Amino acid sequence: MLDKHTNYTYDSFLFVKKLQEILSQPPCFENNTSYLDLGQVSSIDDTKLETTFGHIPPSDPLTKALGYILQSMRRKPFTLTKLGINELLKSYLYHINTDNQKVFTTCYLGCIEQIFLSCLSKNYPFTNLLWEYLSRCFNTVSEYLVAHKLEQGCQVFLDKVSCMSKTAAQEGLHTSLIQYFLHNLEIWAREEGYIELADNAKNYRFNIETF
Amino acid sequence: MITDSCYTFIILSVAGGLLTLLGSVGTFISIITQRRLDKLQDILEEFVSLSYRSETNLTGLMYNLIEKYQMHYMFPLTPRKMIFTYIDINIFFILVLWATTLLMQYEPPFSSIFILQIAPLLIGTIATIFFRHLLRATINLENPLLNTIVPAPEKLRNLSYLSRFVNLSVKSVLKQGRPTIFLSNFRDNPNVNGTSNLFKVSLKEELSFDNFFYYLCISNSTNPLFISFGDIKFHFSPDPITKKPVPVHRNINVPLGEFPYSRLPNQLIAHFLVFTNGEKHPLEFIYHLEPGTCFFSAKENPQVTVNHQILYTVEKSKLIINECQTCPPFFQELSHLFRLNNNRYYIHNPGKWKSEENKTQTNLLKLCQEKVFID
Repeated sequence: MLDKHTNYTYDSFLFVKKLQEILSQPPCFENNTSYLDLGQVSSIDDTKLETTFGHIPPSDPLTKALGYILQSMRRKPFTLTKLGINELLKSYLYHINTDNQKVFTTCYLGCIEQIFLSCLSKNYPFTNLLWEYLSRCFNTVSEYLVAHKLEQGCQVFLDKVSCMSKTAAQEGLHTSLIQYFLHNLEIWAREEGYIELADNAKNYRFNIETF
Repeated sequence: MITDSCYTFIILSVAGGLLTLLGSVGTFISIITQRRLDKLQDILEEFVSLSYRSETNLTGLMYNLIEKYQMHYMFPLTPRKMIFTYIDINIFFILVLWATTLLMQYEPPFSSIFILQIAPLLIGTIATIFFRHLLRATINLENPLLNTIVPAPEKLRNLSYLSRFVNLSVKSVLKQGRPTIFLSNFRDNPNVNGTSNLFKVSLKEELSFDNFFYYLCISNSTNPLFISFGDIKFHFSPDPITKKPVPVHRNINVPLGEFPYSRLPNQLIAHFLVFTNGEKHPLEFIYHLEPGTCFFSAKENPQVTVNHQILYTVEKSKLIINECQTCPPFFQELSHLFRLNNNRYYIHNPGKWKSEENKTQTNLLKLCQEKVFID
């Protein structure tokens, strides 16, 4: 049992295969279900509580995938984490479309944010590598979003990324790649006619290192 | 009624009292100045020692330190005015009292001995006025004596100034400023040569470090396409709305020139050399510029090295290349033109440079007159 476990944990082929299996299932998000989340609703009454009491949220492939990636960050090669992030972002780009762009971006970037936050912990040795890799991915993903005219999704993406970059800058991580990314995004957005997005990108670029 | 002989002494003792007060104001000012100097030197030291931590991102920290330095450098206006007024009134009264005592004792007729007699008073007046100057200068900090101990805040962005510090690495300071080369495209902008595409080259800096000489050569895989060199100095006037001084700016763009192209290259390489006053080897930044939709930008961080192949000195605002073993194209040919005169020159068709005669060569050299802007 132990042997099987070890083999599995260090094999990038098995790791990616497992992740792809999980992520190929259509993602489902909490607000589509009847499950009552006290953090989401502002007020509840007794009938609502009663009708939804026994409900269970559907199993979410994203959470599962995130779990695997977070696990790979504990004393395992950085390559696995990298592959995990890559699969996660690819699945994001694969599933996103004009109707679901806001919700999908929020959920997927939420996962990325959790990965980023856990990489800031003192015991994690590859913080710089992971942040650099993330910065590169952001550039490519945003280019795809703008090219596919997913403006709202890109806006959410930009907000989340800037939030992370600000934390990164405060932690002393290099943000030059993020600055390049924001500048590129600004130009792409302006070319496509998304003036608001371009202005936001510019604003974030000026504010990332202002504490 | 006070007797005449006694009155003179009273007036003199009042003048003496005022002088003592003036002296204590001097002490007060020197204490304040000393505290400020301490603070400023601490910040300066922190700034200089930051350069040892080049592996972390210090851009924000450096910006904050320069702003903090600026804050301590300025003395609030109201107390300063009050102190100046006090000193002026005080000195005025002292002079009046001295003159009165002298006039009271004066007995005509006028003789040449009188001039000799008022000489001490004249010396006293000059000394007091000089003292006033000294106090004013101390409180302002902007004087040659204190400038050497606490430089003006603008000096903290001045690479040539910073490079004079023995314990400072110019390389890591400039790295935190993140200079990068950016090429923007201007389509549908026909110029004289008939080519419709122009690349505008600019240097972007996230922290506006200045006062250095640069040499930039952009080439594709085979030939140099664009060469620019010159001296970069900024002058930032105080903010027009808030009236706050601006020691350093973020996201500054320095236009370096433009060059036409007929076919979009796949990848460009930019060699950027930085020469500062206090060093002898230039810093070399190598950028791999990759095409975006209609622009070229670096996607990777540049390689930064100290180029030991080139040895230079600065003499009378002229850059003299003493040794140059391997250097970027055209560097040696152009080295006689390197002057520190706050101008940026560029050559947009370096291929022609070699074939032309010396006389016509200067026609190819163009001056970049576009202003520095923030974007």
